[in-house]
Amino acid sequence: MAEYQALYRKYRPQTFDEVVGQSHVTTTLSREVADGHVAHAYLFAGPRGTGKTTTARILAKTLNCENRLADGSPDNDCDSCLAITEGSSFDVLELDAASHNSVDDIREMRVSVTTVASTGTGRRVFILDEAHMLSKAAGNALLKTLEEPPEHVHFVLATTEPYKLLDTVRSRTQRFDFHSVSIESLTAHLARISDIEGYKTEPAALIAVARHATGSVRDSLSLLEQVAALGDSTVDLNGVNRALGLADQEAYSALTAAIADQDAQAGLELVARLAGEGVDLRRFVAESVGFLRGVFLAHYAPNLAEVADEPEEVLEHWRKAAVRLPAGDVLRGVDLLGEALIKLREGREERLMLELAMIKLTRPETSTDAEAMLSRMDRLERKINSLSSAPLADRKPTFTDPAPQPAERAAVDPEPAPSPALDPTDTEVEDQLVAAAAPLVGEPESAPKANDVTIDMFRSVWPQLFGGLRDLLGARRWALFRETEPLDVRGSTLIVGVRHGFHLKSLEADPAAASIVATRAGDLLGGAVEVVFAPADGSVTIAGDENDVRSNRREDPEQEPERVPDQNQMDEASDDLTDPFKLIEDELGGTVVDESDGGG
Amino acid sequence: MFEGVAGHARVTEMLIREARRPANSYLFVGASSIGKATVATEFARVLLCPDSDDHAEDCRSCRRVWSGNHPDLIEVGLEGRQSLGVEQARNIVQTATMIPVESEIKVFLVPEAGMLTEQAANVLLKTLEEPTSSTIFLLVAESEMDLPSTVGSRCRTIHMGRVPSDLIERHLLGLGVDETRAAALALVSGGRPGVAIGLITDTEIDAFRKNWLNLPTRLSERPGEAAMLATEVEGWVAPLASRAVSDVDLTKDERQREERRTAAALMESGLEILATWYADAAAIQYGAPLRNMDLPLADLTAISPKRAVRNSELILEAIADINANLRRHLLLTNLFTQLASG
Repeated sequence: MAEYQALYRKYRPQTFDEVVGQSHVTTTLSREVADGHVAHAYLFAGPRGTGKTTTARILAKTLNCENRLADGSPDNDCDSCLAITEGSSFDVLELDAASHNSVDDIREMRVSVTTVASTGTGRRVFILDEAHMLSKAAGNALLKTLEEPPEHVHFVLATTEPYKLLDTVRSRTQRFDFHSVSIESLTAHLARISDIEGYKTEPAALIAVARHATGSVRDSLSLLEQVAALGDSTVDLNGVNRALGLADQEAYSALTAAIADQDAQAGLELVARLAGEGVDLRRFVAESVGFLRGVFLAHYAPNLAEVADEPEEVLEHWRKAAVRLPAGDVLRGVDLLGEALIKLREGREERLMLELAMIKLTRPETSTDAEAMLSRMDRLERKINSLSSAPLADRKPTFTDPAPQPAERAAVDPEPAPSPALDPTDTEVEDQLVAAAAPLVGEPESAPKANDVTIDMFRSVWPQLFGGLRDLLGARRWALFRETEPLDVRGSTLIVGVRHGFHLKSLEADPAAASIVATRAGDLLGGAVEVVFAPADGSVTIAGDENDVRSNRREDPEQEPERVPDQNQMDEASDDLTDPFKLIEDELGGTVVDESDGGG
Repeated sequence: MFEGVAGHARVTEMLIREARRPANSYLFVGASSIGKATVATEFARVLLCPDSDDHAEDCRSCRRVWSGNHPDLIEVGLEGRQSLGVEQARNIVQTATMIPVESEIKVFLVPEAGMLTEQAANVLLKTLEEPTSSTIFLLVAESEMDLPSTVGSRCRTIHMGRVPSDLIERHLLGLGVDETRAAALALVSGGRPGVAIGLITDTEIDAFRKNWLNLPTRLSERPGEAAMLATEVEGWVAPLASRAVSDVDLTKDERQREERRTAAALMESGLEILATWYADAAAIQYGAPLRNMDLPLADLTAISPKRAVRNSELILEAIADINANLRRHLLLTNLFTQLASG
């Protein structure tokens, strides 16, 4: 256990060539060494884990190497190189500027600078790591030495925060900026090391590891090691997901669908599923932002493969999502989830935060910001366009959108509306029930419809249905559902009578109840059915309460006008559909004020 | 292994594997009272155990870790200071060069690494990156943002989330708590086993949660009434917090600190309970699953989803402000007024 070394230490590069992704620095440096034009002071600046200290050590080594190679690299075999690798050389002093940042420390170093190297021709190299931590006085004490050190002395200052250095220190050094390492370089590096370590790897997993390292070699190797430890030397995507607590790919498809369909229920169910699976929700939010960024790129970058370092399957995933999600929604998603991410970093409860973001994302009407308004107007605009281009009478698919959304499909390709002979007193109730069922009928369904269900069949399976529902519904819903009876059947829609008005309202407010009953009933009847609740005595208690019923249904209220109800409502409905003012009122919740006269 | 830990299965599974080939430094991050230090200490125990098989009961090393006097487990705490400064960091750097007393390795546990000053964190950098091969660092902080990113980069970061309430419930059952109490404690704790365990013997847990969940129907736009509610709410938290730490063996200073911390965690839990009420109010109107299954549905549907979302957000913002040590009573009064106004 004690001998074990972290991968990032074990595989610390020992020659300029081995340094990953910093060729702009290493080629210049090795040329300088080979030509003998080595500066007396360097500043290595760049993010964490990009090779600053490593390069400084190689430089020190090659300056002292007894058999330096032609390309300026050390041979790593002579006494000097071995001593430096071991850290026992007298000529290379690596100082931790963070813990030796006082004037006294620097004065001590200045004394040390004047001594000659242990070998007659050797160079003395002072590596000041974390140089930004030098105090102001210490920096000033260093200035003269840094400007004109003895011939055989070289300084390398390494820092992640070069702007914190004194200007006077910076101007005395030759500066090299280290860049974040690209995902390709990291992936190649990880593959090389995995080979040596004997890990069994999946290319997609290495790419995922590289992506999570955000340009840092050290981070990438730490993560690789972590995944390998978790999977007994196997590095696969599943292992990466487990090590980082990530959600599977499906979750992002579900997220896309929920936003596209404005389906808050699906969004919240996704959150519940992820929480139950022990997924790190904070990471999921961060990953979702990354995913939506990809979708955004897919919208605007025709050369997606060139702008994104991702495997083809990921790009394809983005493209598919881009077809479903308009760019405005994608941007809003990035904003909302990004905001949630910041709050999560402050320690807010993950699930609550994600739930709120999900509701706002799937229901723009719940947020007041301008983007939400724009998103709603965007949808409205598309709707009006689609309406004007296809008059109601002969609607045929005219969408340029390659994948029309289910609701739109329902609108363009309506099922023949059932027109049963109705008892006049029941008309209104029935209208609503049929209207409620219509969009669901129009939606693509994988299961075959149970079209020829009769009320007798419904009654005959009722006891079985009723008996099995107790556990499925749970105590709370069961209490509401207990006093119900089979009332009627319309097409494939079962109408369940509820005896108490309050129970009815509660059940209608809870579409999950209807869907549970429908699933169970579908199983018993051998085909997909819909379930609608109605007053058991046939009285018209909900007729005057139309809005309530509508807003409580699972379907989006704004898609309301696209429903194609039966003939009796056709005239009225067509007014709704073509009147832009009415649409604006429905969509934006505003009133239309006529200012055409006074305006200008 | 890790039996004493509630939840965090993903993390402990990973750490068991890590223990075979541990990295130099680990950073455990997550919200307060969720069990970060518990997990870190257990990890230290596994690392120090001379036999990698788990035989905690009769293992001298393990017993000494639990009783807090293992010579090679070096805990660097605040010990009454406001922060961990350069002096403590230099001490760590120096001690890190020494060989372990009796085990193969020595473990530094810094339970409040977030309190390291920037200078102190920088002092640790080189040591964290390349300590002697017999040294392992375990840092614990509430957020990665509490430490410079250069520290996080040198550590293997272990993210820990809130513990799902059913797991806390199961954990409490394992401790011999009866079913109804365990369920109530789990709901109040807001995913923090530490808070739940502190309150095991408390009799007013149910009332605490119910009180918060009843708030939405009691809110008023009048500032005077909101102020009275705020006073009342503070009255729910304080006694609970002081009872939660009353059993722990601490010095007076430590007790006060611990009490303040628990009170803050409870206030946050309470406000989160309140926020879930509003989240549920929005969820139920979209047919989504609810978190609180015992709420009167009629109350939930009386508020528009838009307002419910807004209110939930107002509460979360208030939590952030309270954590930033702003005037609590004023904040609560303001919050309650805002919640009530349409």
